Amino acid sequence: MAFQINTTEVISDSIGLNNIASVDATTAASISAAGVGGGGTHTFTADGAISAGDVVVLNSDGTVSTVTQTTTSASDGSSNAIGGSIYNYWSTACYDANSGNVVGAYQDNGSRVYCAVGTVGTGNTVTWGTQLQVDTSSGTPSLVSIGGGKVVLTYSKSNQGYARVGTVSGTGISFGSAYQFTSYAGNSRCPVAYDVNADKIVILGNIVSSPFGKQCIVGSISGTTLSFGSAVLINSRSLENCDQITYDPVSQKIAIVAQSSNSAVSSYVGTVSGTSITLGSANSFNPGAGGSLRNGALLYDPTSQKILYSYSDDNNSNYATTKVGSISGTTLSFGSGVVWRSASSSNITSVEFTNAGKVAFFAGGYYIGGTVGSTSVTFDSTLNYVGNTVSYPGLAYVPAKNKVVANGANGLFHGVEVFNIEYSSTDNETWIGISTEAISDTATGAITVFTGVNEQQTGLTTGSKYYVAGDGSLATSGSVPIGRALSATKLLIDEGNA
Amino acid sequence: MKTITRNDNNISLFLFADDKVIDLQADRVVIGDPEELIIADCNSSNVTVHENVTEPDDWFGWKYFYDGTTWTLNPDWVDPREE
Repeated sequence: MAFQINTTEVISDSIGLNNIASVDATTAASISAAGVGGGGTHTFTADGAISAGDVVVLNSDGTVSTVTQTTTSASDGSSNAIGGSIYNYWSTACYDANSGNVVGAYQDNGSRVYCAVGTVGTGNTVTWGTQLQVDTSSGTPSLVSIGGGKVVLTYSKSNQGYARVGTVSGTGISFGSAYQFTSYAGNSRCPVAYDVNADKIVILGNIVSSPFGKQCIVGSISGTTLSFGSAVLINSRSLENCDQITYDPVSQKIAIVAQSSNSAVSSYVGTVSGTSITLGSANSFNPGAGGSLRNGALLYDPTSQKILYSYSDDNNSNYATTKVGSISGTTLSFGSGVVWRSASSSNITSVEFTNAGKVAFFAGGYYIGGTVGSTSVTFDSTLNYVGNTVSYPGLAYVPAKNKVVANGANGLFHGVEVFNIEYSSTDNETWIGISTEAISDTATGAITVFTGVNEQQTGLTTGSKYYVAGDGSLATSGSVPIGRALSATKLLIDEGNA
Repeated sequence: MKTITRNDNNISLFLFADDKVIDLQADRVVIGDPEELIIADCNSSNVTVHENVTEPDDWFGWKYFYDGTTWTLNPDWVDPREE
């Protein structure tokens, strides 16, 4: 006969336990000491000295060690360039996850767009494959990765806007045919974003026929073939340097920032459906009062799931400034600006630095890391300088190397810098348990493992969930859960880490 | 007006209205109440706020030094709007 408490069965006819939400620490310890459930403690050999109460990680040879956190300082270095002469304006770059390489493109001083695939090596180096001339009478390239080893490259050709699909193969790249998406691009960049959900690209460009203005247009991809829907007018101004576009995978919307008057910049949210895009209302947030001299960069940060707009603030002596934004419905709103370089700044751009949960910001040879919060950015304490060796760069982050490739101009020649912002790495995700005693290097000792209760803690808050912090300490928030406090000194390891 | 100057060379970095709240903190400067702008590379150790100043008509960040009394043209200043 089943045993019930308040009509809830807790012991079944088969003498199995049901509906047990929790047990007290004494019971848990008794169960553990009795060897029931496979939890409790296990004996390991230490690799390095371990103190009682330390969280330990399992090494590949079966030994255990304390959690190790390593801080890597910011570093940079000039690397070899793709090509020779360059038109000193914006170049572009993107990361191809399929190959683990970067794709870079630039315009030379003979109005030709070139493209190459680069492999980041040791230190701050990148080795480029043979560069490919994409087109003649062309310029102002913009790249976006669309996955599967493919990229889309936009550029102007005889003042018209064209796009091509590139296929990365090793350190080489080949392009399909060129498809015209607008009859007038001028000499502006035509920024492009990839809507992963809709599997479409969206490009910014110009419309010269009535109604005149800047447009966005949806492109469909089939192999290396592109086709375009109807252009949608953003506003009645021409495409300008601060106009940018990115994709927000959380809201599955396209985010656009575009100058909307002589003294205002506005944000727009686009929803792609089929081969069309619907824009929400313009939301003016006026980061600067200048004209097209102002430049800007729009970035979706996957760590914070926020959208960042970084720009040279014409209202504030052209200082480098970043705002944090988020999409709600069809509105993109930004918080207060954060000045991160109180000096006139240009060539502002940014890229995610995902492994460190940060973003790398770049302005005119200076770079800095920042951690993005809900409405603001906390910047690293040191602004780093790579020198005048790269301007107007496209940035691409290579996660396997924790390096950023800055593909731009070095005066009249193509220039490349490879750098990393300061970041920390930790092996806390490989924790196996908590030591019950002090264990000397190479000695053996007992480690509390899954379902066990470690009693060597101090200052815990009873009932709180605990996580393993990057430095191995226990914290009440984090991304690596381990257990729950039964008292100030006892932690029940209720999270497995197999 | 209020100006924020760097302690190491007295360069005038920012200019704000008299009624603008400037909060010098140990790791940043917060402008406005409620917060309107954060200056991440300035803090209570490396900058000073001067109040009730009369700025030059053509003030621009980095164009002038201010020592608490006198404005002096920065001879190395290049107008970034003309670059």
